[in-house]
Amino acid sequence: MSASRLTHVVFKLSSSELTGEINLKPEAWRILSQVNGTRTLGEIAQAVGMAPETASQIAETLLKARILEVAGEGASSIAATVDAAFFKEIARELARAIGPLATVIIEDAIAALGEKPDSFPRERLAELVEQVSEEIREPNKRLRFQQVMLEAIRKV
Amino acid sequence: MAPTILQEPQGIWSGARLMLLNKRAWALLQEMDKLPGAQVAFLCDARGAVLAVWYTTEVARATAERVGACIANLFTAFAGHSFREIEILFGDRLVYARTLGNAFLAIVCAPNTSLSLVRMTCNVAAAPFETDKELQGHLASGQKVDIGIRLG
Repeated sequence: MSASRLTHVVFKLSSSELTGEINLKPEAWRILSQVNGTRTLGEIAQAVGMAPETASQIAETLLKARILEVAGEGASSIAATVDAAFFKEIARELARAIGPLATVIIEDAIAALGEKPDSFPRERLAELVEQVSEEIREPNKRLRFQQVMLEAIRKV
Repeated sequence: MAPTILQEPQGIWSGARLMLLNKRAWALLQEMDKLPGAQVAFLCDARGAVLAVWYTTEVARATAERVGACIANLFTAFAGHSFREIEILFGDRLVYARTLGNAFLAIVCAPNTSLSLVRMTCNVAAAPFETDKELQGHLASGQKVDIGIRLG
């Protein structure tokens, strides 16, 4: 697993018995103290004000030292990706603003971001919404679309 | 709810004008509560004078005020140049700033904050402030010099 992809992963403290002395740097302790088996590493990095790359490197070290382990494939993938229903909601709202081409525009935008609908990362939702909203030429309709989608993003 | 410091009566800001400013500023800055990664936000007039400050409890008020002073200086340095929005690195933090008619909004965020989310939150939150003609008139009348701010 590459360090950059670790931001999507949910970690928990290792259940294996540790032996010997363990020295932790303050940065590692900041991450470790936030690990709870439900938050992604990206969320933890944001909470402690740390760059995702730094947090990923620390998590990788803690993984190798068997202090941390991945909380589970299911948990990490649910936490990181977007449900198909969300794309239907974007399409419905976008169609209200620009008409029947909404679905095509969303598909193109997802592809332009180098992603796929069935594995779209939750943390890139705002990017997607902002990108498709640029297709709405009427400022009031664009604002209304962003307003509705912001509420939807907060609920994801 | 994060602490918010609003304008006190001074200069042109008193009575109904002050109430209108603080009502709009409060509504605008409360939206920052919903923005993950936002740490400090400032509302400044077009000369860079701070009108309101919002900051999370992770940031000391003194720090928020110091950052506000630096950003106010930045706006002063930009005086005379037209811009719509700026994104800069301030230490290890991201700063997003945009015009609000005759005012500015600046937000200091954690480094990994989604700028798309910041921009959209600002767009939505700023609309009532930016389109309030009465308030924009008060803000314009408070400017003793024309610094050439206009929407891009």
